[in-house]
Amino acid sequence: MIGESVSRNEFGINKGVFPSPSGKYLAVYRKDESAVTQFPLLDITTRTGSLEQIRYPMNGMPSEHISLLVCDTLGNVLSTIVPTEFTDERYLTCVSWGPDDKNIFIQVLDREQHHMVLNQYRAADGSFVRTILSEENSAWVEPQEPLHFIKGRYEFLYDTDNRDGFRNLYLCDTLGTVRRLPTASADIQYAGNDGRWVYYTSAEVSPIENHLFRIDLGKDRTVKKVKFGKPQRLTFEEGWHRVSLSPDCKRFIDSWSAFSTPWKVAVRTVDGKSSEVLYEAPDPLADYATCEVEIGTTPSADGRFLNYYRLYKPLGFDPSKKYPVVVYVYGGPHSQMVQDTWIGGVRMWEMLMAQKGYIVYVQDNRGTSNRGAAFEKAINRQCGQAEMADQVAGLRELMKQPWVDCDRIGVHGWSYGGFMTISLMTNYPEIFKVGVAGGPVIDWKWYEVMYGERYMDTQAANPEGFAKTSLINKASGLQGKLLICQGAIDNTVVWQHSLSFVQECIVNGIQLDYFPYPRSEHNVRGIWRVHLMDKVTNYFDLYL
Amino acid sequence: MKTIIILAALLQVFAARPAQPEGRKLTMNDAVLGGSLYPAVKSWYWEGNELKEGRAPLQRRNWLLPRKMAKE
Repeated sequence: MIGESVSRNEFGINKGVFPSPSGKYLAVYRKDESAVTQFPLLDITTRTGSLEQIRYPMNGMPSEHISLLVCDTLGNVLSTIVPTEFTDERYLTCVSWGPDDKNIFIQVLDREQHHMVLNQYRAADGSFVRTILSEENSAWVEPQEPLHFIKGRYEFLYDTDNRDGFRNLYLCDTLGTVRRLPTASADIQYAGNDGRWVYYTSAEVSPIENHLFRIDLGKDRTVKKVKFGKPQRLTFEEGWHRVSLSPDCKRFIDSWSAFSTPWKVAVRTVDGKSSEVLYEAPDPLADYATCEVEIGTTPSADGRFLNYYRLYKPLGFDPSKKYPVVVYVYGGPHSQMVQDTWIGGVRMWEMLMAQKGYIVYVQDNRGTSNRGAAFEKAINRQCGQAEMADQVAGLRELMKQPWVDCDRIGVHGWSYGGFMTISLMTNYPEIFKVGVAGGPVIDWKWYEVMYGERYMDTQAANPEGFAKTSLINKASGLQGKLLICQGAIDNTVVWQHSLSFVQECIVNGIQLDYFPYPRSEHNVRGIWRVHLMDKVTNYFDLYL
Repeated sequence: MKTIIILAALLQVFAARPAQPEGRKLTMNDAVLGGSLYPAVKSWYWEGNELKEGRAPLQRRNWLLPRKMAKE
């Protein structure tokens, strides 16, 4: 396949064609997935049913072979880039053109995701020029951002969380000089540069806020001699700011939301001298009966971090009464459910449940994003363990409140959250009485190579971790009421997961409930989602 | 153990929105499909260095594969 996204959209990959800065040339992914095994999806709409076969690289099994073609805009191939490092199942990530159209830079990662080299290649003939830098980590290395060249210079900003504990930006030259921008200890994200100033957003004010900053690179022309200025903060209102810089970096569009601010947009100058509010959204819930909502922190189970939570109290809350609790959980990497956005990132189903009389609790446990490498990598080789410990630690704090009915606690989540739901139900049956799991991972051996091997390695390399986290091994311990929902043509968490769990329950004489969505993939969308959420809600109404 | 005690002392609520007991109740359709329950978003973008209202037009050049290659 040519010109399509590769590596199942991991490593920030979402396209397969990369135009050069001038637009004269294209770098194009070529994917050979002939060795990847197929998984059948059942199509019930044909007269006698039929199977659609998809290529699905499962943990520990053969994976894709990727190369990069360089061509002109007519499609004439000029060169082919095939790195030589590692095995043929290497990843070619963060494809970046140099500003002169002459060089292509690739962050080449081994299949095990423990080693990465940033390589420079000549576009004209695909030849290797040099390895500029490398990364190594016994947990994982996860390149996600292309290089960002400094305007007017053949120097670039490189993004990694592998050097100083947080996702930082490093000013580099092609000879391997690397200097960290003197940002605070917090995850940051590149926003733009004008050759003199580098703009970035950062979690340094708070992990649940996002603000724009800039740093002066000074006038010196070499990376070694650059005297960095001090970071300057450019957004000041509390909340989560999304910014779009003008191409000349003189102004930026600032769109933000905060716990009490539904949505605001302003255009500002970067020198802070001018700011014009363009739009202010009204409170969309002004006509609705709404519940009390709070966001706060609770210590992680290992005592090293403060985890953020969002809590809804039932409508008409009376602290002298006791209420059931529904935990909504995702808990997986790259997620952040609690942010300082409008009502803390409110989801209306949670509000609806609170209107119906439930306490709803949502927490970002270790393993989730925007908290630095140690927080995220706590899950290494044993997905679900630190996450469960944090969820339970936070919940136990909540259970100290006299208005919590500790005999009526339920949990619901989808995908990684479905895995968490069944993990919590089976590991902590004394706490969780009712669960609804959607599209759950049951055993990481059935999940895809790119995501799963990053966190779990292969089953052969990590048999203890797979045994500990497999829910097949936990099925016999299921005690509460569990409903599993799944799209039957799920091409992300394939049907094999939940059906295998059901079979294991049958073998062990364990009762559970199951509801397939025959024409849904990994997520149940559109009007069918109303059916799904009615199903979920009714289950808690019936059994909790 | 010391760390745990220090962190526990820091346990705090950052922000709270009081209940608003009067008004309409959410329906499931509202909760699942109700885009109007979330803050209305308006967009602006840059055309060159000029500010424009609306969504930025898709830059087709960024993802189109030449026809000759698409056939392969």
